[in-house]
Amino acid sequence: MIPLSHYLLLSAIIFGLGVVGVIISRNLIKLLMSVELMLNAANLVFITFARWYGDPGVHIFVFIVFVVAAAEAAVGLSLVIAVFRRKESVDVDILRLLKG
Amino acid sequence: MNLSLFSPQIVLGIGGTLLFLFEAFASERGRSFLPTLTLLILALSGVLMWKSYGEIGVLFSGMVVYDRFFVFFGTLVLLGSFLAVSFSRPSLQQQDAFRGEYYALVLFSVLGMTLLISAANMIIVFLGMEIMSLPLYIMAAMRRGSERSVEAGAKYFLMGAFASGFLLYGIALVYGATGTLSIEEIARVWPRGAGFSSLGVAGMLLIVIGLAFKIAAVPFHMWEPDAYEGAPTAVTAFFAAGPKIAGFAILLRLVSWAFSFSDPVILRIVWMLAALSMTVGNFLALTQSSVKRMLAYSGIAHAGYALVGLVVGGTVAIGLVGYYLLGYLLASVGAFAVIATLEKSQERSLSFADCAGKGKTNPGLTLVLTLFLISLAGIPPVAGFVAKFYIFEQALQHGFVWLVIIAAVNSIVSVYYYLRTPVYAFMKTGEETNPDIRISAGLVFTLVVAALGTIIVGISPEYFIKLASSSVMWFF
Repeated sequence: MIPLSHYLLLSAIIFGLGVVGVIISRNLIKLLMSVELMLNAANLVFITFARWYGDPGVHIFVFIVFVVAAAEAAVGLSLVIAVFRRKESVDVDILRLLKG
Repeated sequence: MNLSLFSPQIVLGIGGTLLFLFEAFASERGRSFLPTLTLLILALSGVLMWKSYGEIGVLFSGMVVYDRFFVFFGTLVLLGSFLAVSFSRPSLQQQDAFRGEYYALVLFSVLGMTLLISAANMIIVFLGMEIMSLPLYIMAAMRRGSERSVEAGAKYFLMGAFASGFLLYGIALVYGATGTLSIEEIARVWPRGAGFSSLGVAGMLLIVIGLAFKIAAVPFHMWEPDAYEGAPTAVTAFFAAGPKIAGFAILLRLVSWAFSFSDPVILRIVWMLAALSMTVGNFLALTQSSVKRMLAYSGIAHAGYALVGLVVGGTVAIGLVGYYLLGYLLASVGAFAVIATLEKSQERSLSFADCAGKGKTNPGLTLVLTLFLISLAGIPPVAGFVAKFYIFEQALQHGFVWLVIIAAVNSIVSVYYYLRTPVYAFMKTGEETNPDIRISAGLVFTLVVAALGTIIVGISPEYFIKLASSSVMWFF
């Protein structure tokens, strides 16, 4: 059997990739994907511990997170489209009208 | 299970859905009733909230709880949204941002806030946070034609989604450390080892970071000035009223209940957040030339002052945080309402220079604005002063001398930028007058309630403080 720590390590790596992706990537779509990566890393932890504790209820939480992630992607992508319509680009650096 | 205890949320959810449908089929004339309908639904939810005051009920197999804490903070959220909605129509129309969806989105967002405040399980914490936030992102980008508004929405969304990733990963780690998602169970397991395991501490920190984004505490504040400035001002008033208070409510519930008795690391983190928020928020507010942006930074500083109460802990101090938020809510919604009326166009936000001479042309508006700014600055005798005074006094009694020194210095600094607007308005003469300032009945209502509230809450604080501390009693 694969030990618990392997799952946790994997999820920590995925989460770290997501965080780094949000911080360094300059493309709005990539940013969105990195956020999804963070949510899925959390899902992996939930599944791992739900199996560990033998707690089927928590599996449901993972489905709830899927639904929320889908809703978030819907809102996020429509905002990206709104940005693209105004500026013809999805680069983060064009978002700099508001500063100070 | 007594479903009537959940009726405030049910009313908001059904109301939001019906408004969406109504908006789709209504005529132009029918749409003009949307604000009134929204106000009615918010009021109904408030009445239902108070109907069973004093009872404690756990609903849906321990998912949601009805207690005094929920009633107190839920009322703050409903009151703030009510005030922000009641002046919204003329203000949004003036900025060409009046869309029917706004009102349904307000109701859904408020539903998320009430869920968040009543959460008894980490699932609801996450779900409530998302139901609250998703409509906010859309509302910030309400003026689709404006680059600034769309940019505000995109920035708010990116930071918000990033924060919910932290929150969710934190919840997952805390689940791993404790084996439960119920906040009550976590509170029971936490002192017996889970709170000191590295998994538990890491999870707790991630949750606090996620919530710090939502209340805009430094260093997680970057989105707030941009979202506040780019959004239509009536929407900004709503941002200042609801999400911040709901975020604080769940932070208080988690830190002072579930994660109490834990490693002192949490206290040190909140201490740092409080000190940084006050200092950075105030000093950046000093450098602003736009009144709206100045108020956004002042909102960050106020999150810092309120966090001082959380650092101190205990029934009295946590209750005072509730009282503090009440004072902040009234003053900031009122101030944003005045700014929404005074500003000429959304593309250039109201600067201090634009306020010059307004004391002559619009004496009433400027006077109430001054009252709100005085309350925010913490000058006696209004609500802001009393709240700050009591919180600092509590912190001193518990030996947080340095924190109080930082807070006091910041309060003094903040007087400078708060009083700049009244100084410009009353002492300088403006070259141009803006004749088309329309005062609607809704605006008068918002301003009168906010101004009277600021004064009454400040002059007779005992009742409100008692209400606030009785709402947090059962955490301790």
